[in-house]
Amino acid sequence: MAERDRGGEVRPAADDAIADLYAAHWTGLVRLAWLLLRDDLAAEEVVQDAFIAVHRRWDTIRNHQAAAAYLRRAVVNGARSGLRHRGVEERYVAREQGEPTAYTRHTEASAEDRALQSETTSSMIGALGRLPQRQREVLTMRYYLDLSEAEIADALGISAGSVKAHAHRGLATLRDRMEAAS
Amino acid sequence: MSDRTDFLHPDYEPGEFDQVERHLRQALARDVQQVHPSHRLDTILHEAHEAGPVTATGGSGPRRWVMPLAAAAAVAAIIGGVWWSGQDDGGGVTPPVHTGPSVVPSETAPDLPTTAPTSPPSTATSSATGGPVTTQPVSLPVYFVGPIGDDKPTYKLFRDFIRDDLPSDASPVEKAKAALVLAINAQPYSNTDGYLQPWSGQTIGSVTVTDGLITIDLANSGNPDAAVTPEIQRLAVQELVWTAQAAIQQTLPVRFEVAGASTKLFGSISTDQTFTRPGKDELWKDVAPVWITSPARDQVVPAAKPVVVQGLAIVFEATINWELKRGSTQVATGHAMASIGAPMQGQYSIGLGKLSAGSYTVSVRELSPKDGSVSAEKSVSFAVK
Repeated sequence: MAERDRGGEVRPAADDAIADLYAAHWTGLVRLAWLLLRDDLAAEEVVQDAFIAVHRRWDTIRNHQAAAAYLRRAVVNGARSGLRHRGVEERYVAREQGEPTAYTRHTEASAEDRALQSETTSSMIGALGRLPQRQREVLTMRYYLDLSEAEIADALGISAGSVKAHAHRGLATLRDRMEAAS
Repeated sequence: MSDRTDFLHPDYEPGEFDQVERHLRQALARDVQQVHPSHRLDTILHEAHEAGPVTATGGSGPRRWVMPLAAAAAVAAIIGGVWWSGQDDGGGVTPPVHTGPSVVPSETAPDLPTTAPTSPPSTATSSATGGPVTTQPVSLPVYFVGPIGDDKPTYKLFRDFIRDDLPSDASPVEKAKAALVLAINAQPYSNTDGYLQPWSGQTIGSVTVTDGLITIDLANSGNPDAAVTPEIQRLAVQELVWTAQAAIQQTLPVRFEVAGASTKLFGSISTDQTFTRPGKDELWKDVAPVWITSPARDQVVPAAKPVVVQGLAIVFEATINWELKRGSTQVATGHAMASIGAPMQGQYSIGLGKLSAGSYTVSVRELSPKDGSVSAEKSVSFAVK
């Protein structure tokens, strides 16, 4: 829809852009955040904040690709600080118990879902969870979102060489754990 | 995968990590299957607008709409013209019927009179041809006159999708007749939704489409006691117009005939004219500000699935407020944005997430820009099991 400047008050261009970005990236990014945070609600909130930030900065971003990169950075950073303040977690648990709605689903607790997963999946995910944070982030972005090394470097604010090194170390550890388990 | 050789450290042995990469990829893909993000686009847009843009100067002050300015925006929206290209219900969130314009076969619309001569009050199914007719359930868009939910009350049109069994080869004209028969009987919804019954005592005769004109035969001219104000009489006529046009899937002008003669419907509206629905920027003349299209009335939603409330709204600044109650206890409230504000009709969507089992009512409201009172409200009850 055409951009219309209604006294600068309504910004259809930003709305449209966000709607497109949302359609393309919302689910993937929430799942990425969830892989890093292991908390449904916290994951959605981190990604929601990232989208709001892009909307508010749309006048300077103005480009789909740049926006996607911005979103990834914001999500990874959001997930990191979410982990840092693990207080987040207690708060959500408390909220979940306090409210009758199922808004807050704390996924870790779902025994049923766990049972549905094959053992390989859960041992692999478990091993991934025990890796250092950077390695975990790199491998998750790589093997879940299929991001390139450059994209991962950009999202994490580290050099391409560091991405390689983290990936290598992470994969080596995972391989060792798999072999030890079998 | 393309830059895989880039990705891994140069001194890795070829194939060293093939297996672990594959396992990891699969594990991640499976693991995320349990995550079903709720729908938050409305919240994102709303909060982004609340917060306002981050400008180069660093200012991100609050942006409160100034009323006169909003009025100007509304005018701008009118000038802006057509928002989506589908016809009326084209933006409809509920999919069963497409009312696209101009996709209908040809102008030689079938001139087949359905059922019966004009007079007998047979409550008409469709064509009574001999032999077994296979029927199938279809969902017909039917319009009703109901209260918009302010405290006057004001009445406007609401759309419901109603299931009916029709011959599997039913033509648009036959569907129109079936839908009209449903439209004149609001009784099943008068208790739950307060729909009026202005056509009490009416019978739909034949429905024909010729030369780009829909003609609806009525058994009588309507009882003024059942439609007590000029506005309700007008809306009563319009509900038939909207219903017929939706079934025919073309915005053709509609003419009424009462026993083949011209007369005045409800003693006041001449049948010597054609009727149609208003243009896109004037839908509010006929259409209620808030429709809920999903969940349907009394729908049962599985507890495993997140509940999403969807609908159409012609509301100030595209803003709606909502409240979710379980039984009589409020469990959540919030606001959402429709895709466009009044005078255009926008789509909205509210993600409620997964709900625990129980009976719920969701109310979607427009608040008066003047004093914050409820200027329109629609509620729907549903169950989660």
